[in-house]
Amino acid sequence: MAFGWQGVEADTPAGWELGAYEGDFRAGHACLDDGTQLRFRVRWHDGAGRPTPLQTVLNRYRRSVLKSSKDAEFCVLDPEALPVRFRKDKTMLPFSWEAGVTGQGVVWRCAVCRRIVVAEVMSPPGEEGQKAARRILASVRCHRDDDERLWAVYGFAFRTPDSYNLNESALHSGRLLFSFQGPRQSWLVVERWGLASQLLAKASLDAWPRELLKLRPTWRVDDLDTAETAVPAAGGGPYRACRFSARVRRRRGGVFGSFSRPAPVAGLVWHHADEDKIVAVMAATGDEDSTEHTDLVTRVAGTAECR
Amino acid sequence: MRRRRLKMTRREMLESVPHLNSQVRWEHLESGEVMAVYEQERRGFRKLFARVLATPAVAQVLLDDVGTKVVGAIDGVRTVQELIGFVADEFRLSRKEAEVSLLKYLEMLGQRRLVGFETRPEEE
Repeated sequence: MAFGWQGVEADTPAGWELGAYEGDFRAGHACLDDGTQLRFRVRWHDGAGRPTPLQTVLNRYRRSVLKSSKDAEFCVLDPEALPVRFRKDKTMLPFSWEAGVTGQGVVWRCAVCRRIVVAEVMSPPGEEGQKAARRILASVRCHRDDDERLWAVYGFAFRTPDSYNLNESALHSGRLLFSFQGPRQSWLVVERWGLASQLLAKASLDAWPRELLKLRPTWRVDDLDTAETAVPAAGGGPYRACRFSARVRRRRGGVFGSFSRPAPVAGLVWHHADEDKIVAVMAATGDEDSTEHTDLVTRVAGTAECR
Repeated sequence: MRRRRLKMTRREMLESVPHLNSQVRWEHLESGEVMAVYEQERRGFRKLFARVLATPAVAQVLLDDVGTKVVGAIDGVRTVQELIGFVADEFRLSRKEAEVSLLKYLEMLGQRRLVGFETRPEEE
């Protein structure tokens, strides 16, 4: 199952899901667990500027492992244990540790995205996880070649242009939300709702654009226009969809504050009938005459996949 | 007197077994939904307000389709972890999504004292 977060991608076993995350593209971490135990952890930070030697990064990490468990054994491995395609464009140091749980990891510096990444796979005692850990580590990528970023968690995946940075994400009851900030006051919102059949019994798909916009109390929506359509989303479809456009003013400075200039918003909401999900993509641009946001919605919607 | 809140670890919480409150009347309606009917707790300020405002002694909570299925799955044997698996399968949600939704729902039921949790102390 694909995992994607802040430009880092990996093929992880089904059932390993994002349990914790922090930071942004420049520095952060993400942890996947299997419901009871931590199984995969990846950390990254910007390696541009004055370069930190990889050995220093590894030593720092080694100290933190030994600090958390005094009986831990830590060793540095030969990079040749990992496949050649994984070693391309990278200087790396594989390592392993044992402290009840066994950890196998690798730290590398990428010559392309200039990040230093530490990825590790944890296996509980009694599990022969070395081969699987190597396979997972070999699948980890810290950038793509198509100027996009994959976001893949909880059985939902989509790609965004790499000029859009995540500024909010949340997993609410039945709702998965991603909000991105783009260049020149543009933004993108991607949402996935579970229990679609129950939700559609309360409000039809045509009513969803209005309902989605209503969820933003600081927005004033004018000229909402909807049209029925179909989307050929990745991995299935076509699905029944509703395309919409509106002009949105955002409230600034509290209840008595002023409203921003109206920004054109475009969106697409569709019912992924196979997985009983509703997916919505919305985007806006700071430039009133631009149609970039409409193209962006179509582009992102075309990559969205529910599993 | 303030009631002490029991602190549980995540593992204890997942391994706890929810039980339906036997003092609550679970009415199965013709629509297929379930309604919980229970006597309101009246102590302290609530007792005073109830006297002044003459609020009804009995409260009703109508559960929706999802809630009905969840309550139906609480059999006094299944643990919270098993219920998460049930919700994930039944509503085609990922485990984490099911966990977030179910825990929120159980918290709401727990606050209204419609369900209680049987816990087993963590082994050393």
